[in-house]
Order: sequence, then C-alpha cells, then structure tokens
Amino acid sequence: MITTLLIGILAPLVLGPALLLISPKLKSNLGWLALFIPLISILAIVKVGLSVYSNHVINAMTLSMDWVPSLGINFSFLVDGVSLFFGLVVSIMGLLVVLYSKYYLHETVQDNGRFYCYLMLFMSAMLGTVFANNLIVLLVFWEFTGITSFLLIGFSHEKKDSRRGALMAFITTGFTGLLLLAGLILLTILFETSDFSKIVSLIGNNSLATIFSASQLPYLKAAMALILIGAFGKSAQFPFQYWLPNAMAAPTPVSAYLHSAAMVKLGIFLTVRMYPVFKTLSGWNETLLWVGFITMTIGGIFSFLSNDLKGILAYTTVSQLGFLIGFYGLGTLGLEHDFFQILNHVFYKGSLFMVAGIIIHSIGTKDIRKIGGLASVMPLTAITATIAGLSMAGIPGTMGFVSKEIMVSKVLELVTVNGGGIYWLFPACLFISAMCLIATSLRFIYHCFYRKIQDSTLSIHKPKLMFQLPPFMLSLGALFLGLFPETGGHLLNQLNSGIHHVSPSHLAIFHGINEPLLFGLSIITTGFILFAVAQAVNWRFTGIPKSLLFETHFLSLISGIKLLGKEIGEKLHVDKQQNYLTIIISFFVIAFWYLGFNTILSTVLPIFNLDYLEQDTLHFIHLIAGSLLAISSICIIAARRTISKFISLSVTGFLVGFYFMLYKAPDLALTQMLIEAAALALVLILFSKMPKTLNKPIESVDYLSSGFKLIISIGFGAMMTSLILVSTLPSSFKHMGKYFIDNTLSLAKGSNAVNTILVDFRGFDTMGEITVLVVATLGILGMLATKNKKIGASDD
Amino acid sequence: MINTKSHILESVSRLIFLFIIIFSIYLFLKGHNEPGGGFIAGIAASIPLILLAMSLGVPTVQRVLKIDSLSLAATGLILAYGTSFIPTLLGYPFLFQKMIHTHIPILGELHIGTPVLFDLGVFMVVVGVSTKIIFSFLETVNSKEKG
Repeated sequence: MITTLLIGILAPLVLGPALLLISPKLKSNLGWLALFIPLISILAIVKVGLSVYSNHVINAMTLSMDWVPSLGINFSFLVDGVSLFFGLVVSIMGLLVVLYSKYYLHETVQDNGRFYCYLMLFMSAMLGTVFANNLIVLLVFWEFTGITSFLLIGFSHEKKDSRRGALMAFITTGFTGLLLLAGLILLTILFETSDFSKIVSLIGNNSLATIFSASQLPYLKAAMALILIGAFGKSAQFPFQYWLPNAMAAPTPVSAYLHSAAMVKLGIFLTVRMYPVFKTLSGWNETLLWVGFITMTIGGIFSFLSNDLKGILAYTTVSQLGFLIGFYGLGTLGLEHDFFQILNHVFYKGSLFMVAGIIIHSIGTKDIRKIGGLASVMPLTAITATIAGLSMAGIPGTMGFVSKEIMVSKVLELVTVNGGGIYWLFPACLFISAMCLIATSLRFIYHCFYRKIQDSTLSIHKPKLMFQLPPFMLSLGALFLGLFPETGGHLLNQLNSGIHHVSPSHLAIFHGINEPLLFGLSIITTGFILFAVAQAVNWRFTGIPKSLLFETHFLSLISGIKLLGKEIGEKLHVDKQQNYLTIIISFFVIAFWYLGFNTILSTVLPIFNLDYLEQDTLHFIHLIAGSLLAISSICIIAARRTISKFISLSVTGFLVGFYFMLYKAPDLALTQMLIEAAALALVLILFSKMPKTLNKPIESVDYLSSGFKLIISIGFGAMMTSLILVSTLPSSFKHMGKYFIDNTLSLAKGSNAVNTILVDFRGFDTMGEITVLVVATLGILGMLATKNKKIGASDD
Repeated sequence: MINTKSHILESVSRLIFLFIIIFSIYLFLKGHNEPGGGFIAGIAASIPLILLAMSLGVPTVQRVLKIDSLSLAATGLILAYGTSFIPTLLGYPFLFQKMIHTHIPILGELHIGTPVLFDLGVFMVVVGVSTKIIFSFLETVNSKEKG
C-alpha cells in the first residue's frame, strides 16, 4: 500500500519536470497531457482511502519506510480522515486547475511547460505535507510548498509586482517555517519520538498536564506557540495577513489553487493535525480564537474597501481563513462539521478566483470600477459567480448559509458557556465581518455582471465554454451541499470520525426559528443595507489607508535590517583590512587570556622545563636555525621599506620550512617551501600595484596605535606559544598520530602516513578543504570583478 | 618589474618549466609512500605556470594551457566527489577505496587504487585554484597599468 501512496504523492514530482522536457513539441496541447498527472494522484489516494474504509469508518493506518533510522526519521505516512480529506481536496482541485490553466495560458503565457512543472511540484509538496506522519518529513514537504509557491507566485518574473509578492510570501512563510521547525523539534524532544501517530497514542485521552511535570509545561507551551506561528504564517493570519493580497500578482490559476484550496489551507491543516496534541493545553483555544477572529474582521473590512478584483478575493480569503482558525478555537464546539466549513471555502473561493481569471482574461483589467455588463457575454460565468458569490455571502440555499449558521450557533453557545462579558466580542466580530462580506459579494456579482457597461473603450473577448466549466463545477458543488447539507455532511463526517471522536449533530437548512437563525437573518439584512448605502454613495470611500497596510511596515522592516547591517559595517570599518584584523585578533587575544590564563599558569608552567625540550636532541643546528628565524622576524619589524619587509617575511617562511626539515617532517617542509615560493610570486605581482608612497621609508610614527598593536601582537604570540606548548605536552591528550603511523600500511596501503591521512583516513576533511578552496577562488574572482568594473566605470 | 620585459626571467622560466612539471608528476606519483601527494604536487606544478605567466603574459599561458583554470579546478572537485560517492551507489561505505596490486613485466610491481583518482582531483583543484587566483591578480594589475 505504501507504494500506491508514494505513487500518488511523488508522481507529480517526477512527471512534472518531464512535462518541461516535452513542452516544446506539444506547445499548448501540453495541458491535456498534464491532466493525467493529478488523475494518477487522485486514483492512488482513492485506492489507499478505500483500503482503510470499512463499516462507514476510516481506520487510521500508518505506512512507513526507513530514511534516517539512526535519528528516528522515517518516511512515515498517516492515512486517516484528515489526510484523505485534504489529499483529495488538493488533488481534485489540482485537476480542475490544470484544466482551467489550459485555457488561461492558451494565449497569455508562452512557456507553459515551466508553469505545469511548478504546479505539479507544488502539488506533490502539498500531498506530501498532508500525508506525512513523521514531523520532520512533514516539515520538509512544508518548506517545499514554500519554495514551489515562490516559483509560482513569481511566475511572471519580469514584472516587479510578481517579484515583490513572491519574495514577501517567501520571506514570511519561510521565517514562520523556521519557527515551526523549532516547535516540531521541541515536540520531538518532549515526546522522544518524531512520529505523529505515536505522540497521539502516547497522549491518549490524558491531559497534557498529567503526562508532563510542571517544569516541562513551559516547553510544551513554547512548542505550541512556535507551531501556531508556523500555521498562522502559512494561512496568512494576523499579523502575517499582508502577504496574501500581495501574492495575487501570481497568474490567476495559481491564485485559484494556492489561495483557495492548497497553500493557505496548510495552516488550517496543521491546526487540525495538532489539535489532538494540544487540545488540553491552556492557551491553545484562546490563541486560535483571538487570532482567528481578529484576522476575520480585518479581512472582512479590507475586502469591503478594495477595488482590485483579485485584491477583494484575497481579503475575503484572509477573512475566511480567520473564520476557520477561529472555528477550531471554539474547542470541542468547533470540531463538528469542520470539514464542511473548509470544503465550503474551497468550493466558492476556488470558483470565484477562476471567475476573476476569466474576467481579467477577457476584458484585460482587474479594476472593478471599470468592469460591468458581462452577464450578456458570458452567461455561464455569470451564473457561476452568482452561486459562488451568494455562497460567500451566506444567503439561504447555499453552502455558505449552512456554514455560517453553524458558526453563529457555536459562537452564541460559547458566549453562554463562558457567561458573556468579553466573549460578546466574538459574535460582534462575526457580525462585522459577515456584513462586510455580504456587501462585498453583492458588489462583486452586481458590478461585474449585471450593471451597465462602464468603460466602453475596453474590448471584450468572449471566453470558451470549456474555460468556464471548472468554476461552474465548483459552484455546483457549493449549491449541492447548500441544498442537501444532510447528505454532504454525512459523507464528510465519516472522514472526520477517525481522529476527533465527536459525533456531530445533523445538518439542515432549516432548524426552526431560533437564535442563530435570527442572528443570521439580521446579518444578511444589515449586509444588504450596507450594500445599498455604499451603492448610493457610489463606493467613493474605497481604498485602504496606507498606514493600515502591513506590507508597508514589512517592507520598511526589511529595508531597516539592511540599513542596520550597513551601519554596523561602517562602524566596524570592515572596508579596511587593518581595522577589522585588529578587531578580530584583539578579540581572540583578550578572550584567550581572560579564559585561559589560569589554566596555562597551572598546567603548562609546572611541567615546562628544558629536559622536556631536549627529548628531541636539541642540536647545535637547531639553535642556528632558531636564531636565524628570530633575526629575520626582527628584520620584518625593523626594515624601513615595505619591499624589505616582504623579503624578510619570505625569508622567515623558508627558514620555517628548513626548521620542519630538522624535525623530520619532509612533507611539511616541502609544502611550506612551495607555498612560500607561490606566495612570493603573488606578493611581487601585487607590489607593482601598490602606491609608490608605500615604498618610501616610514617617517612619522603614531606611538599610541603602534603601542596598542605591539601589545596585541605580543599577546597573540604568547597565545600561540602557549597553545603549542599545551598541545605537545606529553600526557595532555591521547595522540592519534600513533594510530595512523601504525595502520598506514595495513589499512591504507601506503607507507607515507601524512599522505594516507590526507587521501584516506581523513579523506572527508580533504574533500571539504578543496571545496573551500574553490569557493574562496570564486569569492576572489567576484571581488576582482567588482574592482575591475569600478576602474572601468571611473574611466567612462 | 612585470610590464618591463625581462629576457632572463623569460628564458629561465621556459627552461625550468619542464623540469618542475616532471618533478611535480614525480611528487604526485610518489605521494603514497614518500613525501609528495596531490596537494604538494599541485603547488609545485602551479609555480612554473605562474612564472611563465609573469614573463610571457597571462593570455599566452592560457592559450597554451587550452583549459580554463577554473574549469580545471571544477573538474578536479567533481572527480574527488565522484570517487567518494560512487562507492555508496555500489553498496560500499562513503569514501571507500580499493587498491589493486599487480605485477607488470619489466616495469615491476604496480600498486594502484582509487586514492590516486581522489588525489588527482586534489591536484587539479590546487593547480586550478592557485593559477586562477594569481592569473586574475596579474590581469587586474596589468589592466590597471594600461588604463
């Protein structure tokens, strides 16, 4: 069964890039071929789903395969109601979006191979995330959705808006994704397993407070907060809601997919997944409630104030996501019919985004103030938009109405359970946002389709029937579930039963006259009044105040970080080597002597005597080499011309090579000599570039800075000396050298231990070193290139 | 020093070029049992190249070399990584190395193994990197003097 599931998840990942290869041959017909990929995934998921379905219940099943067994990380997948529901939503929406894209891309985008490829990669990432059982696997796929959505949002990369939107989405979701990583690792450490299903079975029906001691609870809370931030970032919850409207720069099929069914639902998915873990932790419900309801209200009001067709839909999405998050915050009250709520949003929002795409495609503008009278051109789309828009508004007879009624009754129940007070804010938020959504939906339907043509200069291009079909199918779904909520709710509840352990109440259009119904009707009435009033003043008040747009704050934060970095860089004078070398070296010297002075005093000095040095037969010749080294080092300091200093430095280097020779280290000596030769050549080349003044004897001396540098130099020299003394102490460490020398012939088949260490024993180090060499070269080339450019620029 | 043409430098660097290159090959081959190896041989091989570049100019040396130094370094890196990763595909541990011992008539005993390939990679990286750095410095200096 794991193979079937893996085929379902990985088929898009493998076949997506293949589309890229054959796209030049098929051109616009590629869309037909691309349809098969989501179809494969759907069939695979259905097959896996049927295998766990029996007696109207889904029995959760884990499937796993080893990946990094030593860290307890396996390719482990969980098939249960939650993953099947989200998996099916993602893959079926994927199918519809591919069908829709085929017509959308037909004329507008040339490289459609790239488009389908990204779309398929994204789909694979989504499926992987929702089916993952291992938390680390979940995170890997989660981040992969971030990367692929970056590619999709920034698909029209030649436009500045796309790049900005893509970057904003990427930075926000990437940053929150990092926090999620921290949260998941914390959870793994606390439960000593990274398998989600094991964590859930560990908890069972116990409260977290009984499993963990009081000292561990703060860590649990931290894990919860980090995981929630991850979810909020992905689902564009307050205060991260700014990225979603900006991501509307994406091609419309992408918006329809990412922002109705897929990416933004991941946060919701994570909340559902983590619900069994954190439900008993205090703060979980409260956070979800507050964040959800604040987001819902902000989104509702902003959608009412927008003029951009896709901007309106983006803010209604933000609002609806807040609604869903808030719904889970209701605790056990919010677990009934949660999938119904999610599916409702998928249906109407996916449909509306596609409608918006059709409108933009055929009329060429997305400013709602210029659009009008489209009902006669595209009657099918007008019907679609009416159904979906009314569902968004929550008018009786649609799925939206049922969904809103559930919410209202639950929120009112929450108020009575908690005894009113501050809890009255929640119905108030619901009232405001629902009212705004109704007015916005009515505006969307009426302005786009039923009013007179506004701008006669716009030429209208009639869309093909097949282009209009996918949104129509989605809206039919919304209508069906709205008219027969009982049937739909029953089906969804079977998916739901696995993990939540809630037996839901029955769904119906009409429950009799009760509080929620009256509340709902009053929302609808005020919504209509709001629309009428706005219509009367001709929507002159629209436009969102700049100071309330979080993206401006976000952008200034980003530029602030850049500025701070520049400021620090200037303060430290990193552009001047002398300055930063002084800083780095003094730091090391001070830290070393501050931390290590006592140790050196107590360990090195007592053992240090000449006997120990004489072990290696201190010859006359060693003394000569040593004193020559000392003389040449003094020459470096004493020489008056720079070139003399360089030559003295070189002499010192050669003498060090000689010294190695005396201690029977021919490899080191050879390397030292050769390096010295190459370095001398480099110095000589550079010398011709130095300003002429450098070669003049230094006349005035700044005693203060020279004194400081002298102290630092002596400190550094003393540090190196003591380090060498410590490392050569007879008994301080168990030396590895002996092992290498003993085994070089038997294990590495070479008698030169130095070289067998390099290529055999520590070959991995060598690999790293040569990589660093190449990278450093690239760095130098880059620096020289900018230098050359500057010279060239100044010549012009 | 560099832009004024020195006939002595030119003749000497031409003369010693071959000797140092042969010496570096010797160092490379001897590496496993005596002082030498890819790293040292790499530096030894790059020194005559640098000398030639200083006397004849970078473009001449690059024309003679036929391959760009950076590509040489990159090839070496791929070679080193390849010899380390390929064993994992065959089911051996990472960096697994194999030696062959055969007897070739006239020439004598031959010990050869995958470490030689790895070392060759190191050699190529060192030659590529050191010549690339110094050549580009040379070019920068020369272009500035011309400008």
